[in-house]
Amino acid sequence: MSDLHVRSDSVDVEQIMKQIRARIREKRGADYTDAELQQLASVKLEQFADPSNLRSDLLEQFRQRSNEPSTYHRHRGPRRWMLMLAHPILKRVQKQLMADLNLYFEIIHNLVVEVTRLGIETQNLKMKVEALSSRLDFDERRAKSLEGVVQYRSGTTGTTGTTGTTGTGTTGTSSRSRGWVPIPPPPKIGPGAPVPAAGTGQAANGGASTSPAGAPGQPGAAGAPGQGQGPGRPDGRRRRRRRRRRPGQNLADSPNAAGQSTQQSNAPADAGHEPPEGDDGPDDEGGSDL
Amino acid sequence: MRLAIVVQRYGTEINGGAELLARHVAERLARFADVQVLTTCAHDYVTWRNEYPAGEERVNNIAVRRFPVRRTRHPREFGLRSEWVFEHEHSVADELNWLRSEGPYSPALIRHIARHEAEHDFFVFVSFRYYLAYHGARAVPGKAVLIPTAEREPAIGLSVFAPVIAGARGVVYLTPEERAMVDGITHRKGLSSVIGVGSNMPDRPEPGRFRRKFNIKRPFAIYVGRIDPNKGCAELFAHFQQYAAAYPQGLDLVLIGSTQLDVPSHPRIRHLGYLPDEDKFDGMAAADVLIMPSPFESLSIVVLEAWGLGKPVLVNGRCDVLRGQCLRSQGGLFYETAREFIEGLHYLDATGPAGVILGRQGREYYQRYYTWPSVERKYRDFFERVSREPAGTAMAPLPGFVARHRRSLPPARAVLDGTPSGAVLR
Repeated sequence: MSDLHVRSDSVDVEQIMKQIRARIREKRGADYTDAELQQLASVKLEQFADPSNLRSDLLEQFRQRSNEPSTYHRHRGPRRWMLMLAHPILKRVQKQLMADLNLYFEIIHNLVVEVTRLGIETQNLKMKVEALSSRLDFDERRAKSLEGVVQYRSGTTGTTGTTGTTGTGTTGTSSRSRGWVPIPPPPKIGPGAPVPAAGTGQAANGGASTSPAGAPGQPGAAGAPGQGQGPGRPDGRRRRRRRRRRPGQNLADSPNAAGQSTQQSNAPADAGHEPPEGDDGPDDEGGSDL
Repeated sequence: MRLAIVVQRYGTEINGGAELLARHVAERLARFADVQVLTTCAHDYVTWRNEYPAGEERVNNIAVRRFPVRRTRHPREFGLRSEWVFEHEHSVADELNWLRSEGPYSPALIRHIARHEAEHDFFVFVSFRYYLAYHGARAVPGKAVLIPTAEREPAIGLSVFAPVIAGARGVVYLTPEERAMVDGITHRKGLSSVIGVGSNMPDRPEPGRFRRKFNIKRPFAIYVGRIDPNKGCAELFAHFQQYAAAYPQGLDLVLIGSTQLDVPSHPRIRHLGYLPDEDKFDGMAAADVLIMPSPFESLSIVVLEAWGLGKPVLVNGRCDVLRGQCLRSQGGLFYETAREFIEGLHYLDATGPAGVILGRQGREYYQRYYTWPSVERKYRDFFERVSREPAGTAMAPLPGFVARHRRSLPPARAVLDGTPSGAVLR
């Protein structure tokens, strides 16, 4: 499928028209013109609707056949006599046969009705599938285009990787695709860009962040893995780290609990503070606990 | 500079394309010239019935002088004459009779032009195809400036118009496509310019007010204009119903304008009727895209207005002018088939940023070429050039009596079919 995707600040109408025409060709499966499609449809229709091939008396014929006199009634002479002798037996056989035929007739009739019903249902389902696929297609392309061009609100800290993407996606799906402001793609990190040392922060984990800015529904800039993590973040902000409570410890026992001074909670992390057990190991070296 | 603008109808209530253009141009030219409008007493463009009082009045501070129409138009007679000259071999006399039956037949106005030639530096004739423009330009060939507003329709192929357009002192075209077509038919070599027209748009339209007023909640495409088969509206309805079936979550269609065609009853088509300008612009600002299905346009002002509001457009690609405008502005898409309409509209709806970018590009194009200061400056430059440069080729006289009645002219439609077509990209 053609990717109807916009990434630049300007678009070329002729290019878009080419994409649209290519998409139309792909949807058709083959490059049929409208006239060709009409012709194909009419040929198929003629095949089914040609009155010369229709047997409108089919049902009547079937019923008549079942009401015809028995085979031995049509014979004369000794053959008929022999048959008359065997009549009681033959009558039972015939009765059985007629019962079977009636049963078959009913079954075939029900099958025809069922096939017709299924045919209609299939058509309905086909239409539903088409509608769903077009909606899916719509959503995919909207998501793609939004990923590339959304400009994030200023003042919101960016996060990295998964969280940032989630934020974008949520924003995108909660509003219609209008009013977006396109921006150029994010700058790539060159060889000279600062790379965090191994084991510092969560950069080594592919950039998964616990930053509140990356909460679902909040716009967040998708950054490169490891960018802006660990000690001395470029934006000068400290990363908040969740502490795990010890078993049996309640909220009141935690270092930031009410009753402890705000000053204490805001104290520098390296002022004789020992990380409690259960702290996220690599983060401890990051030095910023709050 | 003293200018007389000659137009078939004039008034604030008249919203026909050429007449609106004449009024806007008159009001703008009045800033640097002494402008007088010469027109008829007609209001109805079908019959040219006299409805305004004859004489002088002022409309938006412009001096207007009206002359009575001596003979109303008979649509049946005009239809027969049109069919004859457009489709059959005919004579110059047939064409002149066609012109007279089209009207507005006002010999008094033509006499006035001839008698008062000295009082004006130039006579600006709007719309080439009417009696007034033809006979008026012939009355003052050295001072005739034409704004043909020519569409790609057979009337331009009539032989009587070629010498008038070729011999006019100056010609103002609305689009490069119009210039290519008219110059191709008339072989005009003289001074001409592509200027166009601006629009009096509000500074801050209120889309929210429109949505509240008409209780419109879903995103929609809009059509603004007369709802008429000649404007491609029947095709628009057919295409849109296919689009609605293919994309159940897509755009709705909102129609603004008086109707001469039954609007289909469809849950996603809404007709609001004729609305004042304020509502119209609010509606255009609230829409996602403007659709222009007309196959014949000399310049679609409403498309320019949509670009002025930063909205993308989807236009009929069979109209050279609209297609050319889209390609030059990069402000919209065009379609020729139902499938292109469906996918084009879906593209503008689904690929949100593309629509925004197209709208922005259209807005830049509008601001560069079609804002009033820009148009006004071009008109001023044009009239300065026309004043400086001497008159070019003289207007060829009509043939003699015998030649005038010889039926040797090809059908106008055949002449039109032989002229180059297509969008002009430069």
